[in-house]
Amino acid sequence: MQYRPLTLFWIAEFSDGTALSQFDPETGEEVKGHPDWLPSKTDENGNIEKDGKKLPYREAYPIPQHFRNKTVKRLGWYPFSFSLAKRVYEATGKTVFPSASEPIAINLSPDDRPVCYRSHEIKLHTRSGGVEYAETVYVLGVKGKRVLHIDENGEVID
Amino acid sequence: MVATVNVQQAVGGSDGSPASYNNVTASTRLQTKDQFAPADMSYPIPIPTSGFKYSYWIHVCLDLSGTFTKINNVRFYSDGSIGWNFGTNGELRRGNRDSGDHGCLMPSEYDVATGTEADTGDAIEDETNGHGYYNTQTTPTANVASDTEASPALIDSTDHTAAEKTKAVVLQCRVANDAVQGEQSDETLSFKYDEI
Repeated sequence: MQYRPLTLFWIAEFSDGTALSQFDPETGEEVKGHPDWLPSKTDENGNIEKDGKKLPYREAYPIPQHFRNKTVKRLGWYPFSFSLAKRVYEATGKTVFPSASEPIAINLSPDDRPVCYRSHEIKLHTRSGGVEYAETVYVLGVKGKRVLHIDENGEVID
Repeated sequence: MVATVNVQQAVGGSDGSPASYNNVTASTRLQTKDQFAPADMSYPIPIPTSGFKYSYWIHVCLDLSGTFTKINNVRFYSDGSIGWNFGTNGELRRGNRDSGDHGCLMPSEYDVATGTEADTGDAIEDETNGHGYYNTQTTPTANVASDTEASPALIDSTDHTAAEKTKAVVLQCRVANDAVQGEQSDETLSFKYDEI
């Protein structure tokens, strides 16, 4: 397996009372996350380098359709239930691990810029050989404010 | 969904055009020949009578595929100690840039490894035969033992949104005349990257 199976997925709740889950609870199909949730390195003109090209940020990352005209009021990482893990596998062919860990979510003000991404580690063993897909850290917070680092069991580690 | 990520070593070919990218699935050796995952130890780094001998440098990058929104912030580090017997001032080093990302853009900045097989590789910093992306820098190499989880080397800060390769870390061993002969111990080198 050339990836570390997910143990948590994101859910965004909007100010209009609707919500969006990374994985559709009925079908297991995935919705892509908001690109703004993983900060990009920008130059002095606000441009970013994406796939080898320099572009203004919003030109590089238009707001995804499912986030347009929406304000996220609550965002969090949630564990997979057994049934959702099964649906995700059936829909995507990728393994995720269910657990009974507690979800972690934060409330957001309208001006907050949420941070929500995963930090992955790959270990290269020089002699014993091969690579190891090590533990994933789930990151959640607000840019310029507190940012949580959460382990695969849903525990805040930093 | 989580991206599929392979660690790859680029080998052979010519400057700007590696002959192949190989998924690392077995041991990675730094030796005096430009080849991928040799099954034997036919090209060890000799211990010099004076000065230093070098391994051929190797390019190691991440190959990204699958479905993801964005990947960036590729970092590289060791546990802070490389337990190999390099001798005095010997080291495991990586190509270093004076500013910006330390990774080598692939394939455009790829520089095929050169040297004298079974004797020594050319040093990364060599003005004539060194690695062209690093050898004009004020500090062209850095000791990998100084790259730690708390202070990793930033290899690639750019955004990746499609299947492609990240910039590569360029690694090389430098061995001194008081090094200790023999196959060296297992070392773990780590990549980290961020994804949504």
